[in-house]
Amino acid sequence: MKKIIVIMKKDLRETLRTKAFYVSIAMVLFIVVMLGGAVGGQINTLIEKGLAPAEVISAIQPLMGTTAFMLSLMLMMLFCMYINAYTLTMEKIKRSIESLLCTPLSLRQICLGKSLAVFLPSVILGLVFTFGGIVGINRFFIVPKLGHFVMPGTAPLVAILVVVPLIVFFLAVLMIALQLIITNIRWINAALMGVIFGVGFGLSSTLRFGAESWSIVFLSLGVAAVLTLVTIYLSRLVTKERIVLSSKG
Amino acid sequence: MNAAINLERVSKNLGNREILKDISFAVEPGDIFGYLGPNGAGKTTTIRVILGLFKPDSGKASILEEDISRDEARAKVGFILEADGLYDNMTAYANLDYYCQIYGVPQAQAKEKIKDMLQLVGLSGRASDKVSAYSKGMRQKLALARAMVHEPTAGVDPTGQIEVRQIILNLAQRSKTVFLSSHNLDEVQRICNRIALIDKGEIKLYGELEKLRREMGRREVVIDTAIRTTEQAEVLDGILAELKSLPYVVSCRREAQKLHLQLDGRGDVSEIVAMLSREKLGVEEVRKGEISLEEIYARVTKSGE
Repeated sequence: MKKIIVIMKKDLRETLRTKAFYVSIAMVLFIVVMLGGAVGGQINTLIEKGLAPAEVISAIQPLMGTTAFMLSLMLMMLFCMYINAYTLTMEKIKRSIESLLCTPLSLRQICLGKSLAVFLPSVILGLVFTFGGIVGINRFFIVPKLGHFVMPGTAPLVAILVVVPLIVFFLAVLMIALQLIITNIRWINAALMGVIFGVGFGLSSTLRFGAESWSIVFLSLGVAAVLTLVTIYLSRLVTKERIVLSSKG
Repeated sequence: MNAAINLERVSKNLGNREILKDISFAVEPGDIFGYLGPNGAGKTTTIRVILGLFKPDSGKASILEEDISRDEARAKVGFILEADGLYDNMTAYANLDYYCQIYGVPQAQAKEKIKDMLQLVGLSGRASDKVSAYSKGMRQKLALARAMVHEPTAGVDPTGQIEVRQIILNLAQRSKTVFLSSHNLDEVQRICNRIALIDKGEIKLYGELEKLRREMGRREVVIDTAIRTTEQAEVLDGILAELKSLPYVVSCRREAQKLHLQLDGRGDVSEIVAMLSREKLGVEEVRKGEISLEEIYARVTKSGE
């Protein structure tokens, strides 16, 4: 575990030095503000309908749940892609990955270390921006009119705090595995976009159950399970030989 | 004695290409082993097999009698690859510190060790510079320091900067094995005690360098004649054709007064000396030829074409 953390810390430090990382934060901030504004508008419409505050709150809560769930998923996946694109691509271009493979580290330790370096900041930043968005919507649209702070329900909170990070973890491992064995960076990007859209579309279908429903948690767990199976299958293909040969380009 | 590196009938294909064809050699502890061959001969693939990056399709590769695919076996190996593997965005110190942590060097020792290693390769003044600012030579030195982070510092004299060649020689003196793949034949000749020469995926030559030079040089004969006049030189040129027709003479050429002959195993120098005497061409000295690694290399790789 200690060596996994060594790899993770080094990759994290490298990520924090890149401009792309800060550009991604600025982009995500923009998305959160825009989405917050749109949700705030919907909440205003509900309030202006003249419903009683309790009715408004019970109408707002599912909306907050849906927004928070989709926002967390989208942001974590976005960060995942941005952070991932830098660390390993550079290692393959500079072929420092080859030296790393000759050390006493196992392939599993290298993959896990690199995956955690993508997963941890993605989840932390995703959660910070998601809850920042919830706080912002409450602060600017809900509290001034209703005097109440409205949080998403238990089901979306469980999904955001447990299941979405689980999906993102396997997504990060999958991305690392793909990047390790695919030579062409364009193919890698196309594959990553495919995976992200696949997960996004797969989960957007859960919204017809309503974000308050526990179905969203179970369906998300289903997506996580599919990702786990794909990751396990792909991890069999990740060999040192494939990594070295795919680093040539 | 157990071999430090042992390859037994290793074959490796990449796609449809046969890169290594049943190659075998052993590197003994304390050897400075030169691994030579033209571009595309299979040197890099051999090194990748030795370092556990490639699995042989058949045959066996081991380091200190351990399968290199075991993580513990790789902990005993330091390496510098063609791509030095240094991180440009990190300082020299941070690069070494990263590898110290990977090799499990205790934090308390790591600081001192990094300091010693940087001093040894003459980079202590540039420890906090980013590697991206380093020249190629400095990068090589840093890569060498990195290759030694898993080594006990005892025995290494960090008091002053020494040349890379001397560092390699010092390692061998401490019974460490050095496997050196290089195109610099002069350097290999100076520091390596044993070599292997690979061409088209096959080991063409393997053994102790001095022994190989002696064996191959034994067939080289240089005869210093006593010719002084143009007429004598013309007679000698006439004899050259006669010498070339002898069954044991592989090649024959004249350089001023000297006659360079390459003989096969049946070679008889006395017969040649007698021929020269018959023509009244005096012989001042007969020497066995000195053969350089460069000549060995050229001869072996050329014969394979």
